[in-house]
Amino acid sequence: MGIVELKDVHKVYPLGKVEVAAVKGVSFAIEKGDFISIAGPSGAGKSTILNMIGLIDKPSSGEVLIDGKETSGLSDKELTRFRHEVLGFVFQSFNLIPVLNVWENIEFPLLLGKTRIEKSEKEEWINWLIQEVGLTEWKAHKPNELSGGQRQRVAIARALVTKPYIVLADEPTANLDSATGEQIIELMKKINRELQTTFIFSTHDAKIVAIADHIIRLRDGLVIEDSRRGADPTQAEYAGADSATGE
Amino acid sequence: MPVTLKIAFRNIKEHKSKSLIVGILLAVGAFVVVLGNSFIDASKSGIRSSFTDNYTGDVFVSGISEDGDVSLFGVMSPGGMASTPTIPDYEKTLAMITSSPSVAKATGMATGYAIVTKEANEETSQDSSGILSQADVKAASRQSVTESTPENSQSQPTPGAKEDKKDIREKISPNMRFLFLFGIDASNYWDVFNAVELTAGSRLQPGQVGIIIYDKFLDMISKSIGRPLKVGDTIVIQGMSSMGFKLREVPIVGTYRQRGEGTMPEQLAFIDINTLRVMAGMTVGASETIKLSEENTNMLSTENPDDLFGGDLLATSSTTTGFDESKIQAQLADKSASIKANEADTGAWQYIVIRTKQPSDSKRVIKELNEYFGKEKIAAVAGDWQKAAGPYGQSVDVLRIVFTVAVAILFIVAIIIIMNTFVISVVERTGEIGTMRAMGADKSFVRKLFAAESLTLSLVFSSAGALLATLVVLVIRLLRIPAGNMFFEVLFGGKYLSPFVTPVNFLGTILAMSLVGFLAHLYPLSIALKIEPVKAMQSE
Repeated sequence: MGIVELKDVHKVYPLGKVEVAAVKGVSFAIEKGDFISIAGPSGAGKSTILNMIGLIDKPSSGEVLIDGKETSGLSDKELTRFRHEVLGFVFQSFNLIPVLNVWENIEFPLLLGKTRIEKSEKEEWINWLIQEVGLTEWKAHKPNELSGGQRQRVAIARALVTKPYIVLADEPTANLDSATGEQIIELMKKINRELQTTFIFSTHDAKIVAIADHIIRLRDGLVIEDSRRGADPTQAEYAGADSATGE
Repeated sequence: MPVTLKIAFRNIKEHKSKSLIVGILLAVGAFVVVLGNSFIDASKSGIRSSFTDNYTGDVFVSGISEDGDVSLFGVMSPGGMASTPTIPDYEKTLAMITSSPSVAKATGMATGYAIVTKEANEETSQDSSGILSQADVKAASRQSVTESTPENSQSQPTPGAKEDKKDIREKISPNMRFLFLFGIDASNYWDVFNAVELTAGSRLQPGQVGIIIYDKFLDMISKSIGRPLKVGDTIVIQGMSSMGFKLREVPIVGTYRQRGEGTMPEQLAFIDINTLRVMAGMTVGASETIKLSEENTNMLSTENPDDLFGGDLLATSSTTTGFDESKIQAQLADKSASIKANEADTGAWQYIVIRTKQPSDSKRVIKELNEYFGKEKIAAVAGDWQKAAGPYGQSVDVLRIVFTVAVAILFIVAIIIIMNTFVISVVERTGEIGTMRAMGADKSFVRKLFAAESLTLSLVFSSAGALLATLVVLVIRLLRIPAGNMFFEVLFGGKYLSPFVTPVNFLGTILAMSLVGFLAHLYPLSIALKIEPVKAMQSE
């Protein structure tokens, strides 16, 4: 059983008087410790699937299981607790809290839950994360004093601070230049190896996709490829950039 | 510091323009409320001390009238013609009052109005229309009381105020001097009230007939009637009541001046209770029932005026009785009814004024007395100085109500503006709120965050507004700005603008403005709570 499982998931959005099917029966499983890329062109359904895995959107039909638990029947409070304890988020626009500095932004998720951590333990953990993402010199700075890459590093540290099983990253490199984007993905990969945290990120950048060891490729709301590096020679050997993005 | 407060403080600082819009509104609101209440409190305090020290004591007991509320100025009835009721079972009631451990002193009294006339056998000073109505006299006397209350009847009124006074006096009579009479229990009145100091003569003694007049007003009366007056002389006064007009010649036993300058109306005169009773219609005859014959009753009860001149009446009258001169003479010689109408009802008192041991005891004493009156079925009622002061006491409340309504409108406008500003802020922070929700912040966290922000803004700026108002009040007191005219003297409770800020005013205003801020954030909060975590993904 995977840490994330999607079973025949559909998602339909009302658009005026018509309904638009964003996801049309998607099924796949993600194992613990995976570094997985959900790839596909715009409108393929990447963000919709990521939202459903992140429990911030609900499927129209089908099942989304997180850590073996079916999530469709959970209340708002349970979903909130689940998001806090099990999931971490990295957003395309970083979404840092503008009035808090780097250290405070990273600390913020720890202040939301009911579990309290010893102050010294918390400080040690946050400082380690800051060091890991290379922002020791910047920890007292506000987000508007940082570059895009630095902001995304803060977002990654913030996503990891609650020690979640899964980190979801929606197009984490979209607002970054390619070199910085690659650095960010390398950072995520490094943490994936060190902490065994499952990383699920959406992208349409072929270079970024190539770093993943599990790819789910979407087109028009359907999975057109679900492959692991080295698992299946016919699928695991990734095609070039063009085919990777599906474009 | 909780993260909600930390974010709230920093958001306020970060969004300076929005914070200033909201903050200035709250500060102005707090400033206006504190300043306004400081004047109203000063006014109430001035009027209160003037009345409790000089006229009403701490607790005021009166009879009950169906025509309106009873105050020191009589029954507040339409037209002002209703007679003031007396207190039933006076002795028993007074004994009960004085036995209360919270009561220091109590005395009975009655009030009335009178005009000083030239001589008893001369025409009184009246205008061309003839006899003055009781209501006219009351109105003129009340105006005189207002002009001199609570402080400083000595001060120079503004030309406008002077004209107003002249107008009404000229309208009624050019040479008329009104007196507002306090019929006192000479045995203990001076123990309860010590606001006047004798300048000549002596205090009224129990059983003594006489009047004590304000010394400066005596000079005015002297000028009006054209002869100098001093202690030992007599003056003729004309009183009005439901029993008709009464003329009395009373000796001047003393003159007084006020201990606190301007604390009493110059027209106030202290008179022996029996003379007051006769002039106010509190006589033995007043309580007697006149019995009419059946024939007279039928005649008076007829609904058709023509019946009064009908043949039967005249025919019966002329044929059966005729004109009997001896009978008429006998009737005229019988003066018993007249004597009774001029004989004071010595047990009649309109009011009991009470001095409590502590002013704070008054509420409890009022409650106890009203319970006692209810239990014993005594038609009397106890109240505070405001009840006794009648329209003058109510004027402060009316002023406060008008001010409160104005402030309520200000609050509503402020709430709408603050609400709109908060709504803009929520819309701008949709992504931020969505992010927090996505990371595991529940709705209560969002509630706390917004409440902290609105309450911080409200507390900081309303405190600033209240502090500024307090400073302005202090400056006004230091500047000793003259009230200018009688209206403002009454309004501001003294000769100078002397507003003061009470802790209730200061803290209550901050709390009220915080409530305004809190109410204003509820609608924007409801919008914020509807923000789904998925919005975090959509923010740019």
